Amino acid sequence: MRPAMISIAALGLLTSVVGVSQAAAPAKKDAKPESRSISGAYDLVHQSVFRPAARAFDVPRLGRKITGHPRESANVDEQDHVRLPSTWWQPRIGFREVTVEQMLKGPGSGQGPAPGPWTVTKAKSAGVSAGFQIEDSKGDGFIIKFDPPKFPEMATGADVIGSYLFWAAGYNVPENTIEWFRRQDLKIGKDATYSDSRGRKHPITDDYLNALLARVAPRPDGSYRCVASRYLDGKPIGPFLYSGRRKDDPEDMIPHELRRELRGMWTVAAWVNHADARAPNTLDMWVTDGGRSFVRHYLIDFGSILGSSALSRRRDYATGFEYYIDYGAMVRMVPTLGLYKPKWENVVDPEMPAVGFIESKNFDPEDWRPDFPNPAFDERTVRDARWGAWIVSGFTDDHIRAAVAAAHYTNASVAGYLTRVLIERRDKLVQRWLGTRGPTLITSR
Amino acid sequence: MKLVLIVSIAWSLIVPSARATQAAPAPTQTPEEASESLAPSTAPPWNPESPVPARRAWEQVVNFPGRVLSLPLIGVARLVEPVLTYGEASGLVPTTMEARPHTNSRARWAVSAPHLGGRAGFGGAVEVRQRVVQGTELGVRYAATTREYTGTFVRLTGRPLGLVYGSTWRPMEGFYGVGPATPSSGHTNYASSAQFVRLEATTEKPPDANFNARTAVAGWVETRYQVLRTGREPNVPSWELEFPELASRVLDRDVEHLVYGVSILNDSRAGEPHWGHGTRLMGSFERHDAPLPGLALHVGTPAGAQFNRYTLEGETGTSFGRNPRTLRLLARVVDQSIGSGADQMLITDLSTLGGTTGLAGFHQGRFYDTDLVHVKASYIFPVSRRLEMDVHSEWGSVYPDVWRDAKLTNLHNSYGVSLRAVFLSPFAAVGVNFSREGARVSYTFGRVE
Repeated sequence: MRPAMISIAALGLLTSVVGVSQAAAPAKKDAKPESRSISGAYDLVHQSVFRPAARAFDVPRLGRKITGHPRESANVDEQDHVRLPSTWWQPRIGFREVTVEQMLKGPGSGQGPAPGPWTVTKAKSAGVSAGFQIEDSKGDGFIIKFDPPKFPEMATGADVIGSYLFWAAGYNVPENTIEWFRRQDLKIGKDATYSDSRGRKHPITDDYLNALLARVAPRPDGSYRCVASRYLDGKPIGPFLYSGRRKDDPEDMIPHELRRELRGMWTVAAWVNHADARAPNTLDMWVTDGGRSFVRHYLIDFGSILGSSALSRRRDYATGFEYYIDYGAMVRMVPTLGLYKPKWENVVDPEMPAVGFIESKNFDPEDWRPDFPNPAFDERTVRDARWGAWIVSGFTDDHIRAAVAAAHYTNASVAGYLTRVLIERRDKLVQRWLGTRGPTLITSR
Repeated sequence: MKLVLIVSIAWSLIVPSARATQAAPAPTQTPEEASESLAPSTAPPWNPESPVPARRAWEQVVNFPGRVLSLPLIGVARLVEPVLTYGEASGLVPTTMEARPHTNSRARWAVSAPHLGGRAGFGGAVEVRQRVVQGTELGVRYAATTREYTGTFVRLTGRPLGLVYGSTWRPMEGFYGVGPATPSSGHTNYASSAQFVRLEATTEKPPDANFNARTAVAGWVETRYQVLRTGREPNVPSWELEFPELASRVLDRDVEHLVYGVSILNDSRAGEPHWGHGTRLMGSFERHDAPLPGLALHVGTPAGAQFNRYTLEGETGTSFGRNPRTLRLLARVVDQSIGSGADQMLITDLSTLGGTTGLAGFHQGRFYDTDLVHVKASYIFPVSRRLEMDVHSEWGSVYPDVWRDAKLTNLHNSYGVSLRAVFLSPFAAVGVNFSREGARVSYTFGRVE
């Protein structure tokens, strides 16, 4: 017994030491951090099982919660503003005036691929929907993504709306536009390849491309609708995590769960139902800009926000109300043998395939939850949520209408429904966290 | 030990304190000063002079016991992460919901659960499928487990026909004797080996607007070779030691059958994420006959018992609520009539209950006899977005003659609960089942009804 206890104590000591030494290790300036990848499945298991279990043993956290002394964000000033500059976030709506036109220009030119044929260079190997990569007639690179066949316009619309709204909210995002093309517009690049399920590369052939497009629902005129996501500047070095630091990035000195930009993003995510806010939907880029090289942090892949799901289907009704594995829900459901009726069972489905499922009537502005726990969201405090609500409050009805219009929905009632839902969800959030809603908010800051 | 604890606490206390010493707040740019444009800033970001610790010093100390307690969890996580990362990188764990397009000429590989039945242990299966000619596919599947169960299957399908070769080795099958009231103290084990070649034909009518059920009629002809061997399970006596008279008739004796049969299925079950309404009815007849010399796998092998097997299965369910809470009822009767060679009847051809075959609270292979009856009532309800709970109770027994001997008073009872993980449909379950003989943990991966 005694040797076992000594071993355990020593292991605890060791992990503390390792933690300390990692935290203190200096990283080289101007050296590109190592590229990394994370497993989406592991992220799900870790955030749903391992981390909640570890948090259950976290006495300091429980103590802070009970006594009402949460740890506030580490990168805010006396006015509760994010200390700037930041490679994560840039003050835009809510902190500066951003016109609708500026939002629609967004992170780039506001233009998709140049007119002319597209050269397919690679098949898309990550994400949840079919796709490939192209070069347009000017040589610019894009990732092309499609909708699930049963839900035309759903994922592509969400991807475009998300990129505008998150850009306007201050985050770094790719430039996404809705495009249409025909099969004859595609050329196969000389060295175009795709990877099979074992990671082996094969040349992309006409057969392969036809098979891929056969799984996409064409429009009545035979063309295909897609979202074109422009390549980001710089070199990708893998996703960022919502906790810890990237130790080989000298500019990453604040644990991500203590960053206001990530904690406060909860409010923006709740607004647009970004339940898929997890590490695999982020990307760090090693960029050279303004005379120096550094890591810029991006949010990517908004194809599963609003009513669209990462499972190539619409969002399920419990989205936003429960985690995939929700221990609170289990405490209610197990003793009652499932007879407890959660609030979300009352939601009304708009029955619009292009929308998927999102609504505002039962939206909970206080306790909205992503698909599985997000470490930064978990650490949010009232001040973080209010910061996010500050941003959300800056979106006028015109901003929302314009972002939805950019999704080019065929059916006007789809755009109308989404606009109304986003306005109502915005108002609920602002009412809850700022206690008011008024056009004077921006000018008062 | 005290010294180690003191040092570790002191270390936790001192080092993070030093690390936590931050410089006075650097001058903060106002939003207006930080950027003149809406574009992302290119300036070096604001940072403290030294990295911010994830925990303050006192938190490190207070959290030390919790950190020690969670070490096993950290260890499991450290093991799981590289496995899943490799799985995704190699394509073994799918990262997309839509299968990649494939051309006709390319072989498709898949890794799955072994599906070798109860008692087989942990394991896996690898399968490769290749389209041969238009509409015809050749598949090869090999499954193996930690308890040395193996199965090899080669399947050539060209609808509506299929030709299957199979070979299985099951070295540790449980056996407690024949009859409905065998004592649990008589636990033995046996091994069995089987090979078969089966030609099958299936015709199926999918549901349509007029008839909301899938109907399928199948027929098959099979030549099957079997042999029973001494059980291989350590610390459990082999069956011939406890049941010498029974074993003397069939142990190590090759038996070959020509098996042919027909089944009809009507299935109107539907619902998401699990089937919550509808009915499944299935009836089948199977004749185990003397082998035809021209078709036998091992020419000259004697025929075992020749018998008919009739199986009737019915299953129905109803659900309520938007996230379905479902009540299900299943009933199954197997009636076998043995013609010649009753003393040559292999125990693998008897009806069996226990474990995954029914009455999950009893050991796999707990009951053997000619016939059986089995009833199961389940209540499945959601407990979270991706978790369901299945509360169930089972009744059943084996009999020499189910129509003569089955009574409500002589049914065995088992009950249990399982937690089911759901993706688009349930794909894994872990549970515990109870009977008068104890509790058994069960798990399923891949196919959860």
